[in-house]
Amino acid sequence: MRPLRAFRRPLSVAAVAYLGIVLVAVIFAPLLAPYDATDGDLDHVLSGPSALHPLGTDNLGRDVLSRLMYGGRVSLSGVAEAVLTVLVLGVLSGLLAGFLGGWVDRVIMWLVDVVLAVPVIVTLLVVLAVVGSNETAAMIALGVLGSPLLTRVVRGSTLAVRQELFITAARVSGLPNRSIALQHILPRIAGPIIVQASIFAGAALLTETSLGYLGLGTQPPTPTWGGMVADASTVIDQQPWLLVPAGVVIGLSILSFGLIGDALRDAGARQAPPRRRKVVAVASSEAKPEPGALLSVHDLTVTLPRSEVDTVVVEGLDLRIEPGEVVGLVGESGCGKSITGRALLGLLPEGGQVTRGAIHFEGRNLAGRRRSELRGLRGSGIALISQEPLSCLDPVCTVGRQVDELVRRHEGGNRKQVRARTIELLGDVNLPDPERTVRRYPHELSGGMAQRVLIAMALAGRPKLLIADEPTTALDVTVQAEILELLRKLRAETGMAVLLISHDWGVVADLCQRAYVMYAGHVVESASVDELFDGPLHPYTAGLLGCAPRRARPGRRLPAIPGTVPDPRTWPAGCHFAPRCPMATEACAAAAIPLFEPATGHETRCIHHTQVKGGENAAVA
Amino acid sequence: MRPLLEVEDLRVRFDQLIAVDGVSLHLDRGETLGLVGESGSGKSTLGNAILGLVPVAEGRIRFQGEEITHAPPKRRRALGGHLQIVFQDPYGSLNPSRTIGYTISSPLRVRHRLDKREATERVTAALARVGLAADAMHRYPAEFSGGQRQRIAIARALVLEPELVICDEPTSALDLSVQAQILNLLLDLQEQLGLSYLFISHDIDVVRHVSHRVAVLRRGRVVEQGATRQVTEQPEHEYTQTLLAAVPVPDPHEQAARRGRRHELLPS
Amino acid sequence: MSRLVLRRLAISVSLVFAVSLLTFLLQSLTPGDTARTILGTNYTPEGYAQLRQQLHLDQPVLTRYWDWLSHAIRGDLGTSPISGLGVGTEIANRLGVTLALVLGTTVVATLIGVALGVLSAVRGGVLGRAVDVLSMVGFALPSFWLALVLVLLFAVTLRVFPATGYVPFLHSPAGWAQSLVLPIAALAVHGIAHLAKQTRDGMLDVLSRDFVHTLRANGASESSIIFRHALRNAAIPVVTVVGLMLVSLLGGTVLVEAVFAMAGLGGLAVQSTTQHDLPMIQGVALTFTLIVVVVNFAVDLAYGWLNPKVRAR
Repeated sequence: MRPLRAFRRPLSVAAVAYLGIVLVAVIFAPLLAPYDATDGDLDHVLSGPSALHPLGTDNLGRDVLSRLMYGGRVSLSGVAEAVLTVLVLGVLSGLLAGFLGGWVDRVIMWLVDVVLAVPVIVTLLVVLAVVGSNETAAMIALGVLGSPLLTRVVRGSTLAVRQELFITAARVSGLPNRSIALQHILPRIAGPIIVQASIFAGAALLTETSLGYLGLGTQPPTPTWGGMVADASTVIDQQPWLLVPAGVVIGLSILSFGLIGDALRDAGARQAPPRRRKVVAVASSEAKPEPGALLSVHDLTVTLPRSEVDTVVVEGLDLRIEPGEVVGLVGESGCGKSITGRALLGLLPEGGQVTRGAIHFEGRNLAGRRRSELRGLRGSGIALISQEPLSCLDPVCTVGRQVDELVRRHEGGNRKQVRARTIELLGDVNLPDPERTVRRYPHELSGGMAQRVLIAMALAGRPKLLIADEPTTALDVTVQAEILELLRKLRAETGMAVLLISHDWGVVADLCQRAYVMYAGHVVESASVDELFDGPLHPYTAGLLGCAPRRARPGRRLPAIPGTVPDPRTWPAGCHFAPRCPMATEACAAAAIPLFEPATGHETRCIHHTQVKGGENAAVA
Repeated sequence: MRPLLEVEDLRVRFDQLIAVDGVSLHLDRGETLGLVGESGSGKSTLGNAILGLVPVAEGRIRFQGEEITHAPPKRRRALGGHLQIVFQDPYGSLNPSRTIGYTISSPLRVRHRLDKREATERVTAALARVGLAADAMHRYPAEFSGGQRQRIAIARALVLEPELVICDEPTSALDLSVQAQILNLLLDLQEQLGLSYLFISHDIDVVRHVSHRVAVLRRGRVVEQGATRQVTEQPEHEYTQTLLAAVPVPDPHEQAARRGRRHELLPS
Repeated sequence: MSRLVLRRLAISVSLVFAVSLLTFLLQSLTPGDTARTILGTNYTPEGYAQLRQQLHLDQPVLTRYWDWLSHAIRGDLGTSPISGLGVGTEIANRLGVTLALVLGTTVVATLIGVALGVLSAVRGGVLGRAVDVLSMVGFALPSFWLALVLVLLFAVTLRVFPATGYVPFLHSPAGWAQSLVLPIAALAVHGIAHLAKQTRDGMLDVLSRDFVHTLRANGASESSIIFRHALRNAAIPVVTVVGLMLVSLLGGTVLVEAVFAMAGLGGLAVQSTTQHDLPMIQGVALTFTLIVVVVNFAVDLAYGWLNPKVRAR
């Protein structure tokens, strides 16, 4: 968490400034206030704003501005007392519960549940009746009643941080518990604590002024903000203006505490999602759909917002899939392969755009169409399965309802027909006992079963193309083998084409007929799988094949590629792979490299492709 | 000579679940023992039990001949100098709000009471070993890529000059080209420092590449262990055979042939 | 689920005991007592002692508590020594006002808050930011102040709604509704703000999850994604907020009852604490606690209904 980032927004700066001014005015009230808070000027009763009294006078002719300044002393010191109490109790109990666990945790959480169920104002009334009009006691009581929320936050964060690996690493290194708690845990949870304290400060001020309004707490003639509202209410039909100063000061103060809390929280959490944009006109290429192809992509260029700048993440991508073909899209993370898959579905992340190119599916260009226009195609034309099967299912919906919904959408029918088709689909994906599976919830499934359910959902619309985005990466190898087998079987039965996005050479070798290799937003090579593995014509393909331990001699150094995949913002000119390439020459960096086709159906984006040595132990590094 | 690490009939329980169920292993100096298994096989739990991070229900763990199964906290902390760990997730294993130098040097300062200059020297040396410049010390984890963070995590393990490093899926979160770099680094360090590795992974290809011997775990039990070549080329146990047959080979011709053979093995 | 219900029951029972005992103990520490309140300033020590004996004030606290508890369990909350009214009857008379306020506000705030939250999450843009601003302002406005402004606008100036008072439903349903509009409006703003924000944040979170992407990619309709999937998932934290809001509304009514001069339980609480009317305070606190217990129970049932993982426990 970077607290400073929180104060880039003008609104949070204003909040801090406002609270600063109020604080100064209140602390230095005896020096700054134009009048004494209790001196009435009976010549100017209920005067309204004037040169003499900038905010007017009340029913006893007392200066409202001065009363606000003095009244703030009571209100704000009350807030400080309450916040301090919350901090002490909440942090201590939360840390103890989270760090120690066991019975300490259970007792503390029981207390938290009990206190959270107590109506705050009513309890404060009782406390005030007991201690007389003692403001401090009431605000400390408020702190006690408010502390469970912080206890929960601190406990939750402590538990989360305690499970982080760096804590385990510190323990393995022999650091004692005390050092771990002070050096590693407390700094990590400081953020949520400050946020919670700020939010509570607003709530405390609200309660303090409420008590003041009821005439409890600090007694007249000492002014309080709440009391001033109560005074105003008695003369509401004579001088309604009096409601304004106190109300506005109270409201703005609470607002400021809230804004500061929000700003701090947002700074600690994810960045605000980019604003949604209108679809820009795609520089529509004149490309015609390739005859016979199920999908032909030409010159596809995609941008995503990175630190608020549109950055090209996929550049000039050409891709072609025949009906019934299984095509691989291979590459490391950050090369743009998943984004390509999402672009084909018209489901780019918020702010992402296709800025150039054509996507022809069954002869229709999909590029640049609105999401709603593509909706009819999804599921029935192109469907998707992706990486984390368990997070791809709605956790609160049974399996049956999720598949039913898509079946109904694509095929219609009454409830019974829909359910029958659902059960048939679940049977098709080799789920044992489909009749029982429909009643289960996602958390009752294993990863492999969940992926089967997702495949059934993808099949509901009888798609012609299935985009499988790392479908087995999160699964165990034996389950992976079953899912790959299932995909092979379904392809044979339904004749649908598959675009398999994967980083795993083994999976590609197992399932695909052809493959495209991507590096830093470019397709660098494409060929039939046999040619690609036997005689790669791009140094990146050769290098990446060499990195597979299975293709190397055990115990020997692997021919690793030095460096890492560059960030899209720092792509070099010319060949994107040149900085890591052992064969790079000046010409590589000079200009964009076109695709060469040294053999029919085998393309490479390398000017030195004639010199590339095969993937096996090629001396790349 | 006695093995560096001996595990005898180890059992670990979580409530009702038996995570590790009677595992026996040994590991010599300068050797790598690969622990391979699928999720739920207990391989990570076994590593954690050796480090004293989870309580052992039954059995013995001996390190350099000394029984450490139920070592008291003080002895445990001292063992940190001999037994270290490298985790899977290079993003979670470094405290994001501390500099690299702080993280690597904190056991030196807190436990070994080294002064600032000595600690800095040791940190610089450890960073150099993993191929990072000394100025990395003053930076925060967020400024490094996944592969670089894993190098930093290895530097943190090495700074205490341990004999045994438990590598818990050290390359599973990394890309293939970076995985190759890290595997090379681990192999180099073993050669230079004579380290022993307990190498835990779900990836048989990786385990085969780095290990001298392999133990295959399934549901908390070792189903097969032996020399890497023996286990991966002539597996005896049915489960090992299934596991090896399930891994797709990055070679389309061989994979097609294997697929044919597997159909015979697994009539599904 | 049954384990959860049992745990809740245990907490509820202990809560009822804890609150009633605490109220009793606190009251016994209070300077001044019921006898003195009744006698006023003119009394003889003998008269005072006699009255204390009559009211059992000379007994030890725990004895008195036990006495009260054993009667309360049989439904007898005693009589007020100050007004001479039966505590049970008095609470029953005023319960209607408080319940009308609390339940009415909850319904209004939930409907409007959730609708605003969904709308802003789905539409985004200007509307989203408008809801953000609205919820911020709604948070910040004290309900008693807002109530006064509403009175000023709609009762004093425009004269559309009555400024004060409560009309029982059976007297005149229309008058009842009219008398509730301003108080509920004043109370609901805070809840609307809270719920709109919670719903919006929850919806945005759910809408960015993998399963929504999967549903969309495979052709699910947008309305089904929003209402059947996203709202249902987002409802889980919303229910928590509704529960917390109901509890805090019990306190909020104290203020609004004061502004609108409505004879509800809140006013009774204030009045009896200042008068040291112990049986009455005990009765009110017990009523409040029981309402809280019922609310929490309903929230837990809602959790189970919404979240299959909770149900399984």
